[in-house]
Amino acid sequence: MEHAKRLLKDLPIRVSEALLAEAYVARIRSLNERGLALEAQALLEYVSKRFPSSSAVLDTLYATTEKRDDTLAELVRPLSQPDLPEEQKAHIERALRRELVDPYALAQCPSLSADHPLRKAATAAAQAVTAATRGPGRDEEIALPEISLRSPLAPWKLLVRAIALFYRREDDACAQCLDAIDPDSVPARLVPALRAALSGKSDKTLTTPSAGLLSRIAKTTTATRDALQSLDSALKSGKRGKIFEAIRRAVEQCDQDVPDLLIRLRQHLAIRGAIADLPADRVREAMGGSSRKDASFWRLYALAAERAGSPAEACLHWEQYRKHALHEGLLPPDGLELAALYGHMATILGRMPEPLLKQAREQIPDLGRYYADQPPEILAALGNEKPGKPDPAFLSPDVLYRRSCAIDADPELFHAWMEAVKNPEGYGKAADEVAHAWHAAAPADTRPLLFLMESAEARGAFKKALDYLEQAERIDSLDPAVARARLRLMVASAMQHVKKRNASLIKKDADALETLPPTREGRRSAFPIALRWVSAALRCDQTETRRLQDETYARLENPFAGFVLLKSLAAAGKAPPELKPEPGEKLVQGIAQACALVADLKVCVEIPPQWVPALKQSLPDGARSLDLSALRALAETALDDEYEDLAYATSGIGLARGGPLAARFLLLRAQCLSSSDRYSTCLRAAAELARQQRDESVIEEAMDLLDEEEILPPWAMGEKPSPMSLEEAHRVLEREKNDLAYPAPDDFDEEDDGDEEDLPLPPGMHPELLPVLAEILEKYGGLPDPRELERTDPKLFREIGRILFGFGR
Amino acid sequence: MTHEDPRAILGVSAEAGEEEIRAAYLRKVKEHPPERSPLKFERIRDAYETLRDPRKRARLAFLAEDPLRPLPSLLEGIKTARLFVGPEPWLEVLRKK
Repeated sequence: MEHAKRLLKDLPIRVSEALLAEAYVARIRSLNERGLALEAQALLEYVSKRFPSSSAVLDTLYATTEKRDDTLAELVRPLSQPDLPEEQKAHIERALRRELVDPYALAQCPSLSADHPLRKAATAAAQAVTAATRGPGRDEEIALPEISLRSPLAPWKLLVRAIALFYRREDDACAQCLDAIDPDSVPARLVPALRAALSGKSDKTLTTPSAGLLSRIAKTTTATRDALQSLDSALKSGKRGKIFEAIRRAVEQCDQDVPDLLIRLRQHLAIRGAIADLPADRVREAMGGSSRKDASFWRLYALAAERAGSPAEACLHWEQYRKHALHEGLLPPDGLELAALYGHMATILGRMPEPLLKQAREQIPDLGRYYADQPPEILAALGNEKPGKPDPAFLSPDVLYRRSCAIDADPELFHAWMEAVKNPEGYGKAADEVAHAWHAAAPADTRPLLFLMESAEARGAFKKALDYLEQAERIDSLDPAVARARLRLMVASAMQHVKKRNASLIKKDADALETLPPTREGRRSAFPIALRWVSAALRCDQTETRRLQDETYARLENPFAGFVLLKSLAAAGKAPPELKPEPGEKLVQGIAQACALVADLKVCVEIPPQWVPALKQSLPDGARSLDLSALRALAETALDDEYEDLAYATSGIGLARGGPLAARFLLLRAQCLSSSDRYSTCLRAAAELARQQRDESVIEEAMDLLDEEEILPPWAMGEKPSPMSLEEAHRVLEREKNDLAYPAPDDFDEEDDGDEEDLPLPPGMHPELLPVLAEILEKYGGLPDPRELERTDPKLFREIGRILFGFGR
Repeated sequence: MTHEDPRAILGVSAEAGEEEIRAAYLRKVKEHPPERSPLKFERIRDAYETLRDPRKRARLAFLAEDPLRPLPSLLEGIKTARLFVGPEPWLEVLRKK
């Protein structure tokens, strides 16, 4: 054998391998002849693994190396000797690990005394196997403290524990035990079957006895899985006969393998049937009964209706979900979940114009048919209410927001409620009422008061606005939003006086502003001086005008900044400054500074058109010393003044800088572009980056711009397309950073004027809506206001309602 | 606004409570520390922030299920019956290689 080994090492070819295998075969035969069956067996296993190509010869040996009980007795006999060398003991124990197929045989072994520790351990192991496999074994029956981790029976201890854990459904712990079993030991032979049982799937690689065991101890879900897969395919095919047959098979198989899933499966099938427009009675027949109309059913149905672009129908189902979930204890009566549900319903209805909602309230369908064959516990959820028409209040966003906010004064919901009722200018009586309700529910929150302040300011009621501001200051004068509001309100009041050319009030405003700490900071201190300049100019006090002009320029340390500031005030007060500096050094810094200053104070500013060419030229060098807020203000002002190329270049510099305003600069970059794929991509990426940077204002602005991009009105749309991933947003950011050249007009994507039939259905849009919208577009050349449509074309209007609410289905 | 199911990101069940959510978050952060995988970390942090907010968690509680999920996925997490059959079928597997 040694020669054969050497030969194989020197000449590793198949003939050498075969020769060594033959030598091993001879050795195995010799061991068998000497009665050393266990050794023979061990060597045979090693050779089988090492030389799989010699399996034919080796197979014949298996028959002659089977171990007999008397062999076991012979094997363990030396263990009774007190002076047994460690090496021999270890050899016997190794053989036991690899050969012992039933601890009961060892427990009965006559060559060991009855009180020998190994025999006692084997007895305990045999009893534990029985206990673990016959029923839920008690801890003490399966603990096996007699068997240490070093014992030859240690794999049996792990096996017993794995079996017990399997039946106790502690699957992770069971898998850990299986991992720990010595793969060369006999108990390892059960590992594949147990793993398959844990997975609940059949395994075609299992041996026949393992597969037999698996089929007896655990029901697998493979057949049900296959049936459900076929049903999915049938539903996709749309062939009714095939669908009903697949439903029958899936329900039958599920009932057999996983009866606990049957209720849920029927609910899913009923809803799939409704989506596929299948006759409900035939679906019911194929399912062998009705689906249970509990909270789970209505929730699924509501989600499906939302997906299908039927918000009112979704709310009808959510309302049913609410009743059943309250009855089933899934929603606590005054819990956050209920508030969240009302809020969600209000949000999805928020996209619908009131005329369509009114129509929906008038057309609420009778839900009696859903409850026709339901058990009493389901009907009990409805209380005294007949399962006919539910209260139409669930179709009023205002009612829903009110209910939600009464349970939970969630600022987000109050904000959403206010957004829903604002007039086109962003304020209005209804919004004020919500703000009052918000303030009543959360008196320590300054936000509703600041909104009321802005609302009052927007209608010119400065005194009222100041009252609200003072209330907010009493709550938290250190709140940055409150501090900013005070400054902004005073500036707004001053600008009103500038517009009215009231020199004495402007001077008073300047005095008052100078007492505010934020106005004394940095360059902001130039603003009150500039106001005094306007006052002096209006009084035609030329000496004072010149002095204040010089002081403004000096305070800003930049004549260009001073000029832009004075010009913006002068434009409002119709009193132009005298001196216009020629473009020169620090032009970029000066304009950016002025833009940042007035943007901060919400005063309109204009870049002098004559300076724009010089500004563009000096931008790359001049922008180096600008901080991010000045860069942002410059880009925003350039955009407002319609110098898109200048805004594009400035946003590019901001993008290259990175940092906390990356999302803002990407939004600005988008705004420099005409409506195109690149425009929407930048907006979506900006929204995603803003989410990462927690910049709520960028998210809101980007989402609003994306909404404006939609060809269809919000009520015609279902779900919004999936937002962009963060990785993709970063890729867009990198691409935009490197795209330095402002696109020529030809580079913008042209509007797709292709055939309308080629347009894909917008995601989530109800399929029946497309032809109706096409008809409206053809008739009216655009989408008229729903109120107008209700008046001029009631038939078409009703048709839209029918599709959107699905009530007619 | 989160667009991935935060519970799937943290690997917690719909019924998971605050402690379980926090433990899952800490485990995931260990797997994907911010310095090694910043984007994954962001996602994990966002998911955790969504789930730790009881209002957002309440919203997820009823919005989580996908009504159009592939039907075989209904079997996920389903517990099939496990039957006691005594030691013999188990030992039978051990006796045969």
